[in-house]
Amino acid sequence: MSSFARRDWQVATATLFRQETVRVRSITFEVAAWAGHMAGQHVDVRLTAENGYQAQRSYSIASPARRGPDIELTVERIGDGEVSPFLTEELHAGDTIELRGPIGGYFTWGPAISLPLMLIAGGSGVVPLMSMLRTRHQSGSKIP
Amino acid sequence: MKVTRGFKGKQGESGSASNRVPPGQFATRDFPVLTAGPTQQTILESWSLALQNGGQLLALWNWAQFEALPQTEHTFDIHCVTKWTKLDTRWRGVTFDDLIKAAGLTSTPHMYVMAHCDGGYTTNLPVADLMGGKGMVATHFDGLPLPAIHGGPARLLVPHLYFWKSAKWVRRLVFMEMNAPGFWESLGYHIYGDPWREQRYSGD
Repeated sequence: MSSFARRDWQVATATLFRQETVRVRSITFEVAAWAGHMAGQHVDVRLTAENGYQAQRSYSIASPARRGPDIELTVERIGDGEVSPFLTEELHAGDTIELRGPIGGYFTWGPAISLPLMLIAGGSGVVPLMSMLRTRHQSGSKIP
Repeated sequence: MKVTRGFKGKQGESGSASNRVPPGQFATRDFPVLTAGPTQQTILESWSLALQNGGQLLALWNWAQFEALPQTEHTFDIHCVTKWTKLDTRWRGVTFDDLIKAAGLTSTPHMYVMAHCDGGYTTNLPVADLMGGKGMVATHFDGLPLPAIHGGPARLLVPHLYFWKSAKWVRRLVFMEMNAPGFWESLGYHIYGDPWREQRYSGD
């Protein structure tokens, strides 16, 4: 397989929020130089406190495969978590975080794959599957 | 580095252990289960571990023979590329050094190894990262036989590299002349995977 370009950290600006359930929020980020992604891929998110402390987590992309600048992440709040409570409760429109990606080339789907699929997930595991369903819808694919 | 408005995080919670958590990782007490494919169920009667030089068989152990090899118990910190780190995990198994010795080898034929597993998973490693007590084939976790979800009956354990290198359900260790990417290394993950240098993805 060909080499992969380095994934650099990019600034992402929160623009839209959609509350999915009490604990789950979808957040649209504007990433100026987003090069596009495949359904099923994820990003690494990095938050930085004022004193320089940083925390990283990986989140699946919920929006369909397309070129930037908007990507949507769907985040479930973990009660004693560090990053998910911030993303689901503290983050406001216009705030910026850092992310890099897209990451992962194995668990992906595109309309060129002609085999039927059955998608099964538990909890927040549904997020990459939503990206696949949305990509299928967007492409007008009739693959079951 | 860009400050995230309002973010404080849980800094300092890991206390004196924080210097054991590599950059970008967080410590967890859980033992998450991640695998690219279905959990392999290998019965001990049909299990074997092969050591090969390319296609040439150097040694083959069945379960009883493997259990009779010198056993080493050690406590390690493990680091998964998905960001979790688990401190003080206790393992038992046979070190790569002891496998080499048991195979009657006085030196290793090549500088790289590809690990092959039930289910078809592969991962590549430099021999230097397996020798000197750095790598083992582990059969026990926390004093108990390793469950299939964590790679039992036997998994590779190379705790100083990201945990995808510690291949579950390992069955063959094959020396190779040139370094070549395994499964995740072919799919955008780093060819070496040092957590302290944050070598998560190709290009890091």
